[in-house]
Amino acid sequence: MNKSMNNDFDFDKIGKTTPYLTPEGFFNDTQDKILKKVQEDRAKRRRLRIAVITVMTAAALIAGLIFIPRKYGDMPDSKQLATKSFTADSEGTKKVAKEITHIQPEKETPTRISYNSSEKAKKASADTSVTDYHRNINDDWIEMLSDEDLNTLTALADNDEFLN
Amino acid sequence: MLLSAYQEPIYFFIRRMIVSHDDAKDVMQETFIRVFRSLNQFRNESSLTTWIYKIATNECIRFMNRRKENTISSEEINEEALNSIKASEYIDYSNEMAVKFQKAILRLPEKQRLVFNLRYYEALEYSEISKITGTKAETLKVDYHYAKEKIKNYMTNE
Repeated sequence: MNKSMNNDFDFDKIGKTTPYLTPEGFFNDTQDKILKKVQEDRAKRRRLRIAVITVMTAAALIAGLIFIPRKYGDMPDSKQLATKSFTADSEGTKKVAKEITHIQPEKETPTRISYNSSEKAKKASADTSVTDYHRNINDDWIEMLSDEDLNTLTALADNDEFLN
Repeated sequence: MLLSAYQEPIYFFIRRMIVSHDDAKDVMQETFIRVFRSLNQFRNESSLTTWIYKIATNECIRFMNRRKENTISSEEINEEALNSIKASEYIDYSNEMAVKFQKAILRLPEKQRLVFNLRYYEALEYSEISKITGTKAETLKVDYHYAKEKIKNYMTNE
């Protein structure tokens, strides 16, 4: 075969002929199989898309429940904290009054209720949180004090060299 | 309609690259699944023919890369392709010239084989082949020229 060939091979002699064969009915059968597989593939992708959307929605809901604070939940209530700081016990009141450094009413210039303590007021957690938190605290808390506490506070105010 | 028009040419294009009928059948099925999956993404940046051939080419390359994982050198890969044509079903061995011609093509490096098949058998323009392979048209012309020379050499001297 090789000897009979010209030195220059002519591509036109062979053209586009290939030796590759296919089984009978191959293309008809394959067409049906491909269409079936395409439908299965589409159904699978649809299911996957639904699953992903469901998971993402659930995750967003859970994140919302965890991270968005409840309206009346975690934040300390100003009135509750104020009453907590100034409980009925007068000793406790004196102690707390010493530690309070800044309580500012809502609108006007700050009125400092600080006792003449030489050392710097250490910021106790609850009370400091009251002071830091409620610079604009209104006077409602005063009305909740007992008479005894009021008298004590008044006495302190009278003796306060910064106020007088 | 799309399947009827493209099934046969795509099958034989893949078969010329891969040789084995069973492998070509699988690759062809994968090709058309991808075609139907991505049909809504077809942007008319090229013709539908070019786009489908591009998907078929990528599937062939993917298949050949999987085969490469088990081989060491490009000679081994070519050897495997040549062995496929010896051992494969659905090959007309009576047509010796055609078998030899395919062997000559299978001896080419993968890229040249691809360019030769797309130009010679599919009669695609160099601009279309450029979109399929991502290679400049001038480079493709050179590739095709060298491929033809190698085939000529093999057919006359072997």
